[in-house]
Amino acid sequence: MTPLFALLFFEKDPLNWSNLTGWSLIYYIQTVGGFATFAVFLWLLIGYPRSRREDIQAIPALQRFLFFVGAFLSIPMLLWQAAVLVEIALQAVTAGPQAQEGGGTVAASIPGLGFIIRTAFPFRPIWFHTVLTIGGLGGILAVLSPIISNLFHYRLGRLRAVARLAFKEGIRQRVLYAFSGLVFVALFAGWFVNTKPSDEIRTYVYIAYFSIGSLLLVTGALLAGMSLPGDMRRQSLQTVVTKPVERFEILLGRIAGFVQLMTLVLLVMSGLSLLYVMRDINPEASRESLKARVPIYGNLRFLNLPSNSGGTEARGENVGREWDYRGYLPGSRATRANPPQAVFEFQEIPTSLLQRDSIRAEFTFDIYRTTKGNENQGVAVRFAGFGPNYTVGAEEAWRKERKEMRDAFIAKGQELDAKAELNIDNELAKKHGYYEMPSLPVFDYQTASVILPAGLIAKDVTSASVGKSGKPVFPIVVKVSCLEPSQYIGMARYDFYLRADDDASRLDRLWFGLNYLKGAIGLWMQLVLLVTVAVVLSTYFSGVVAFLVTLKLWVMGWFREFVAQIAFGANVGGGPLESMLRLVRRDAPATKLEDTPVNQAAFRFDEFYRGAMRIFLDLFPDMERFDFTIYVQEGFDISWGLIGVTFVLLIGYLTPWIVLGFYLLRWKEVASAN
Amino acid sequence: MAGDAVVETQKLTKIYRDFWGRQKKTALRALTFEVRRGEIFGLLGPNGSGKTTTIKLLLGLLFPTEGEAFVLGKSSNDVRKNEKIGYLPEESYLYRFLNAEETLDFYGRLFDMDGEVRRKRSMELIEKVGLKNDRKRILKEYSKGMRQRIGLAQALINDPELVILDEPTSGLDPLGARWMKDLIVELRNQGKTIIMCSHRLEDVQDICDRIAILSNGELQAYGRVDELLQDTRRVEMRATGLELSENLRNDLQQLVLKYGGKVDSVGHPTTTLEDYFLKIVEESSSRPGRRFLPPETKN
Repeated sequence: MTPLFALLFFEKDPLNWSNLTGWSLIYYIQTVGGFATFAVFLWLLIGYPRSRREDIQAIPALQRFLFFVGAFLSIPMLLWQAAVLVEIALQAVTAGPQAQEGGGTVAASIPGLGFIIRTAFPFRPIWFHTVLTIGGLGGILAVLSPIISNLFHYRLGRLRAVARLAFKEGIRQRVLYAFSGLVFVALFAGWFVNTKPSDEIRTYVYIAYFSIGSLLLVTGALLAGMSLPGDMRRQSLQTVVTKPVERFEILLGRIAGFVQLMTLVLLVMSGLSLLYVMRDINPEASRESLKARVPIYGNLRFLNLPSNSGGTEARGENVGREWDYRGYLPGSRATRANPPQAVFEFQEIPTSLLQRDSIRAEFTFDIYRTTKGNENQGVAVRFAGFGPNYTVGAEEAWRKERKEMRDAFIAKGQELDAKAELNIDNELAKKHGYYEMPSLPVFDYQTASVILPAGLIAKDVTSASVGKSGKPVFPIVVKVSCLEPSQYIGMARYDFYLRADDDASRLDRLWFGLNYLKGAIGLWMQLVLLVTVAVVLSTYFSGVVAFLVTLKLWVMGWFREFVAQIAFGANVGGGPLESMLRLVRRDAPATKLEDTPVNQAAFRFDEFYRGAMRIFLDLFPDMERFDFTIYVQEGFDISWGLIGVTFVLLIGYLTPWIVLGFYLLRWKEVASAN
Repeated sequence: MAGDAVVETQKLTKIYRDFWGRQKKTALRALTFEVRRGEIFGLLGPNGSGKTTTIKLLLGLLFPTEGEAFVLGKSSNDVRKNEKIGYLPEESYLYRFLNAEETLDFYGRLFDMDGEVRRKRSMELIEKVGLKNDRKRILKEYSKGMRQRIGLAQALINDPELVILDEPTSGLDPLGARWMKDLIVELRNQGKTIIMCSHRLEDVQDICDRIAILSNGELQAYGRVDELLQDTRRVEMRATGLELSENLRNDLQQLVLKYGGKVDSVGHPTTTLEDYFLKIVEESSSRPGRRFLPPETKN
């Protein structure tokens, strides 16, 4: 049988609900509140003196109250912003060659949301964050005051009317049909792409998502961006605005209408492309990718590494690979007392596993050889499973009893088939909370599996807890050790997982199909993002400009990490002026530049540029979070939890945009557009 | 705001500015007037005099630079005032991809009207404006007159207290214009207040109770039409059952001279071209096949 390659790796940890609380939430409030506070400050500085007395007096009492409370609370945030601006200016003035080493700013990231923190964010005192968070909330309250005070006047019926109008407008624009037709052309790109048979699904999924995504996203942004400016140009918006419809309802209705329309198109396209992807699949490709594996990931730590003198470490050995995604586990003899081990601790398991006889664990490891070893043979690896019933030293008893039971079974003249072995293993696993696979050959990057007896897990321990001894008790723990002293096994947290789904299920095609549609939800979220931003921008800019700015934000969102590296001076080659100087002089990107006046000027400009980029970095959406293609390609289930968290992230990103749109449309003199 | 005033402006001023806030044009300067409940009020003036700016300020489509405007007791910027307003824009700026039914349904929904009420009202208005047979056609296919009719229907969908009409007879043929004027008068008779601005002075004279004349953004004249148009220097007498003979002319001239006056002219009055046109069209409907033959073809 051909080797199996099905590997899902994550440069960034996948999102989970815990990412939406704690520091991430505080950071969100401070960031959005920071922008809101600055907007309030600008209005007080420029807008208020230019406002008519009559208009100020006409502001409802509730709105006035909320604004004053919010503005007062946001004063510390404003002071902090002033301090940050002074800091950026000072950094620009004092920037020297040290800037090219990334010494100017401390960068840190919060796992999950991918937010890059401007200054060592979580490491400031609690009182500081408390004051700043309250300030941020104050800014948000002040900015939201007109929306809150008018909340009871918004009507769902009117919003739906505007949405229906946008929907009909989109349907009756022929541009939609033209773009949809192009998608079908793109779907046949597979005819011209040469792929390995086993990569068929990967390639088809990629082509389908890429063609649907890129064309529909462009169409969505185009329709949404052109709509309101077109309405203003044709003056049909004037007639609408003379009805008792709030401008906020017009904005939300437009967004909702185009989202509805594009959702419908996406549904049809996804359904049709699924038929395209699933037609006449090669058996090898089916075995690898025509699935929706439901992985349960554990936390990984390493034990007894030589580098940490017997302690534990989150990361394994570094073998000098450029990509430091994996840590490496050195090999040792099987007889060694405390061998280096990789420990996968599973915090939670679904109760469905309790109904089974066995648990399938799959893994894909990287082999790093320091000697040639045995040709065409894998590296021997031992897997040991530990359940909550495990007591220290149970290994020896387990081995002894297992041998006795197997011998007794054979002595009775019965055949020791897989089922009988599993029965024995389950019985012993229940008794000792232990199971081991003494030696299994592991091949470089090939996906293999270990069958663990379900007797390891216990009904009353499906999630991690603290035991009587005060030590943590996990539902299941798997320890991996390499048995060949001159070899290293590279692994990351996501390289080893338990399968929560039933591998023996004959419904693979169905689950894959559903997973494919879940993957389209990622495209849908991108659509929502682009449509919303395009509609918001079109309240101020012309249609073409709104469309182009939206596309630019989308593209920049895909390079957000790189933009962040530049913003924090973490990239090689420096900022824009420095890298231009290097290009002109043909200097290597990593060399240190001399301390000349020209270089100094470049460093200072770049530092100022970085400061500005750091301020506006959060305007770029983290587009990678909305892309689920890799899951579908590799045959891994996209959990509803992940979809839910990503959706919350989307709402979090779009809410400030919608509020911006509210103000832009509110201040717009609809009739002055002619 | 006076008790019977539906619209009131106080020193309403609109200055258009460029992106940098520099003054581009003063469209309206310190306009103060009021419109009373149940009247037809006309806004007159040459192009660029500030009529449409005034209407847009009243509707909240533009924001005043100075002064205030109150409509139905609320500030012109208050969206809630629109619940009792119907507006017919000059060009009937409607969505051309919708048909008549969809158009009225859409605007009805904006008033948060109940579905059944909305449908009933839409059908009534479609019949009223004579578009029953064309109600399924999209507005893109409509003539200008038909668009004006459906525009009026959308303005009346909420049974408004105040109807604002910007050039209501613009683009209509004389029959359509007469129909529109009759409808405006009918609306007034139903107790609604109407503000209209028009270039067609005869329309304004026909139906408006009071007018305001604007020029260069400033109010030049304001009051009841009959009072403003009354020429106290002239005397007019109308009579029927007489033949205009030379003796009659001489006698009339003597009488006028006796009282110190001067006869400008004596003759038969002429009707308006509009009335004549309507009479001819009506006759052609009642006597089909009749046509005018030029003199040289009569023999």
